[in-house]
Amino acid sequence: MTESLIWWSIAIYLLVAIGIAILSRQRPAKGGSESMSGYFLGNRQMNGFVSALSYSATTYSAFMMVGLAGLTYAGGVGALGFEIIYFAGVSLVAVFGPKFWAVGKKFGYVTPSEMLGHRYHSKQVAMAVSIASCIFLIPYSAVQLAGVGYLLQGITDGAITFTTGVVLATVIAIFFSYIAGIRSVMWTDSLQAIMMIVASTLVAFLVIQSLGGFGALFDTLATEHPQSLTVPGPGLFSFVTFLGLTIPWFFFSPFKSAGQPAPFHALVAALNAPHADWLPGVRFYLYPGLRTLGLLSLGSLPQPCKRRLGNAHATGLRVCAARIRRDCDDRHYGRRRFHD
Amino acid sequence: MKRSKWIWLVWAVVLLSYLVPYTLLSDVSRWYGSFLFWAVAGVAIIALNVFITTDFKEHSDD
Repeated sequence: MTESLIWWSIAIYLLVAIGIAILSRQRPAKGGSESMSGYFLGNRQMNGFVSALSYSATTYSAFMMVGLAGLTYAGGVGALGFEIIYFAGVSLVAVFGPKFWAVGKKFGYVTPSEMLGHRYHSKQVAMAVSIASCIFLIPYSAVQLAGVGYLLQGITDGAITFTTGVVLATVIAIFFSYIAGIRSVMWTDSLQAIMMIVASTLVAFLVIQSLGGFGALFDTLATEHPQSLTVPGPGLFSFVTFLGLTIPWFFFSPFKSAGQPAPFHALVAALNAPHADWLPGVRFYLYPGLRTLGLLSLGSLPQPCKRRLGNAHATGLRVCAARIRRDCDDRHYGRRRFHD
Repeated sequence: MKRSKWIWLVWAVVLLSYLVPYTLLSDVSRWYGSFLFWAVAGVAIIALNVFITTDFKEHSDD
């Protein structure tokens, strides 16, 4: 993919997203968006469908685009199982979500720290949550921004540098947050969510078609890479590792809504969100399923590369795994290497 | 069925998602093995979520 094509794609996407962000700002709302509740929660009157798309876009970030892609590549179908159990945890939002929303509306909470501080009648709890959020959201945000940098660098073979990608992502994130608070964030999230599902559907479809269709893909896998269709498969997904990955992530989905500002805001911003639970579930389901299909078809990496990928993931170095994969590609297929 | 009952079925699907692929399907290296099982489990979870959230509005103050 050429650099100019990437830049044009980014420019067009940004134009559309900025248009949506500005339109969201102009949407009439009771009380306007100048209040704290208006800026952070859209006056608790965000559309349920938009809330659902935003929640799912918030959940699937660079972690999905970089980390889980490599995990599927290295460990086979076990990655699908991991993600299915992960998204099953979203069901708990149906239990806790209405409570969050109800108490949020009743007591006027704007942030998760307010809710937890009030619940435990302790200012110290609220302070601890605020400080913990600030501290731990720094590496969390850094990984997301780094993911954008790595992806842009990777797809352009280094023509767009890592630093340029990170700076671009940072500016965009600040701009979307600034222009209309939660309204612009959620509406641009929705655009991103729709684009991701459309793109992943197209990629999976095109890859499978180029390999001769669904039947031919699985026939090839069954004969040449049978382990990729079972667990523990190539070895990455031992039962203990599978448990270690899935148990925290099962509970991560619902409880991040209580402790992490972005999903909390997406959740309590919805006035009435009958789809806020199962709609992200549909996308949670479609996206890993399609991506697993696509990635299972790419079983041609040399074994040393797969081993290195597995080791990287096992130690949680997901972003590094993308680099290792690229390096392996370079070494074994003679692609041009570039300096970060 | 109340929301609390449906959620037990979610737990059951999750439990099966651990047990079946690692036992019954561990040697089935075809599309109708673990791939299909987890795909169907995903559909089941979505269906259960539809049931759970059917009365979302009425019970929003639970």
